[in-house]
Amino acid sequence: MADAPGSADAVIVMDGVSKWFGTFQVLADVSLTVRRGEKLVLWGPSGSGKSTLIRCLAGLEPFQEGAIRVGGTQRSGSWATRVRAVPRVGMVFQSFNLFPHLTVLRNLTLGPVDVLGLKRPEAEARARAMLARVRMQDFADRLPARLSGGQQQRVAIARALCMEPDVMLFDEPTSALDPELKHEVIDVMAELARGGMTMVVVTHEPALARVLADRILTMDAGRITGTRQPADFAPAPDAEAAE
Amino acid sequence: MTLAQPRALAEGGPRRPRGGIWRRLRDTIVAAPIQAAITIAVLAVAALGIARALRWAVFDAVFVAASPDACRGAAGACWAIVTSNARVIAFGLYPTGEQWRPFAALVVVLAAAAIIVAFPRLRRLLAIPLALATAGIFLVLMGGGRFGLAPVPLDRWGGLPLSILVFAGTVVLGFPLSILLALGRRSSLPLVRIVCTGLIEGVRAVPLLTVLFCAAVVAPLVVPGWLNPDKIVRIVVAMALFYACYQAEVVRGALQGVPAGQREAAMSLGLRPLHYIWLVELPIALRIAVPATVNLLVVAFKDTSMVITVGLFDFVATANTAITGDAWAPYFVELYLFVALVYLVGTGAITAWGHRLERELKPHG
Repeated sequence: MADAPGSADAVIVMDGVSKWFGTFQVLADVSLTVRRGEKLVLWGPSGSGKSTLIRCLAGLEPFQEGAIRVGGTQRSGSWATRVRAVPRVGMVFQSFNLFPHLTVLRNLTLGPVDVLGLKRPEAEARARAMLARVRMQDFADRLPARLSGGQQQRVAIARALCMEPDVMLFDEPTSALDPELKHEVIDVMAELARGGMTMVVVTHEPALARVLADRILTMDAGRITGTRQPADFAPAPDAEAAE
Repeated sequence: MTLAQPRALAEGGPRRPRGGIWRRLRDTIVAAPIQAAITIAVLAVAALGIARALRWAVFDAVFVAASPDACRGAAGACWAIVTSNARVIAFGLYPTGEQWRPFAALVVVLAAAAIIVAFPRLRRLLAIPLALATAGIFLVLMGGGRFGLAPVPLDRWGGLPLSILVFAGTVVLGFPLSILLALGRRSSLPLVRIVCTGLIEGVRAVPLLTVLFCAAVVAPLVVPGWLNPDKIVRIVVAMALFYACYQAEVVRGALQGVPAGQREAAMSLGLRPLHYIWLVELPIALRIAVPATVNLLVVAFKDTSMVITVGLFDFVATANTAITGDAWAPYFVELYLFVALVYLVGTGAITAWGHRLERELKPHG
């Protein structure tokens, strides 16, 4: 099942984490380690706890038992502890969650300027570089509502990258997208993976698991139930044709 | 198998919808015989009404007259009640020789408003300095005592400038207060929450008249003298508080309309809670709140006419002085029509600006 916590190059160590919503247990004694540069995919049916797990890693959810260490900082779910540790974790949401009243560029500079304390020009240079990385450099002055879903998700990835995170978390990044828009997001993520980024991805998308994963953990009923191989997600020949 | 192409696409390129205003008229008001008949009947009645109204208001009306006697024989409206009493209607008891000052003050306020409306891109930069400058010029012009202007005590202020002063003071003080009250009401600190909730519910439970009475009459009795500013200041503060308590509920509702994902996105970037509120949550919420805010601004504008109950002579009150004597009294209809027109222009301007803000500041981009 899970590996021993605390190996030397571990970026994320989750040790015996349990979480309840009321009396309903969503995570049951989950332990796992993510090593630097590793691409971990969490796979499982809806309600299996994988989204809750990644939200705990992002510091968005409190949990009742166990411990999570990210790059050496302990985290719980409260905003205060979350903010005190400068965010080493980038989060990409299913529904993009771009700030709708701000241009693409300002979406990207908000964190660097108002959290990291960068000067505007420096933050904007960084933002434009990240936009180029997700091939959105021509859309810097648009409002998010004027972008397609795939474009919004690529901007959201760039926004997280602007904080120079140690690890990127993706919570079903392609689930809200039309099939033809999924691929532009998958391409960007694959490129990110080739660049050596540490990634944890919750997904239902076989192509993502196939293209990205070093390791695939399956979850059910709040527990990690096993591993699968990326090759398991190779599309059947007739399935390919149907696409 | 291919589906039949729509004709326009087959012929190349998209096409505008056919027809213009005539087609729309034909489709809506004369599409069937019964509709045509109704249209003709309504037009006929309207034409009759408009003709009669025009005859009364324009063709048979007296616009200028030295005394009300000139109106006695006229079949139409006596607009002379407005033109002959223009000074007292507009400026009340303000000293006659100095009335260029309230006039100039009005022009300055309207010009400032026009600048803000005309240059939306400069709004963020200009709004606060322009508001401060306008307030300063307004108060110096009205109050005098500086730059060689004769001092005019507050109890001589009246008419349109006073109405606008009360309205502007209400909004400028009340709007920020409403945001604080709304944030305080959902605070996690029990004391802050209780105070804000108590204030909002308490003020909303009483009529404006009661709040004004407390500010004008009760406050001087229970508050030590050094804490007691002039009555006009107390009234403006009371109006601002009253407005803020309603506006706070508008803001609170809008805050609830900000998607939860925004907070999570801000958290995942490491934004501090206050940064999140200031940079993300409030800007989105205030965009959501524009229609309801404009609604309350219109109410606040009309509520300025309540200050006569505590002895401030707003525009309605000064207009009323024109019919206090017997001479002009028969022509109160014309007077109130004029007053209504002025209020219509004011509320219309607020509403038009609100619609423009709605287009400019869509909450979701």
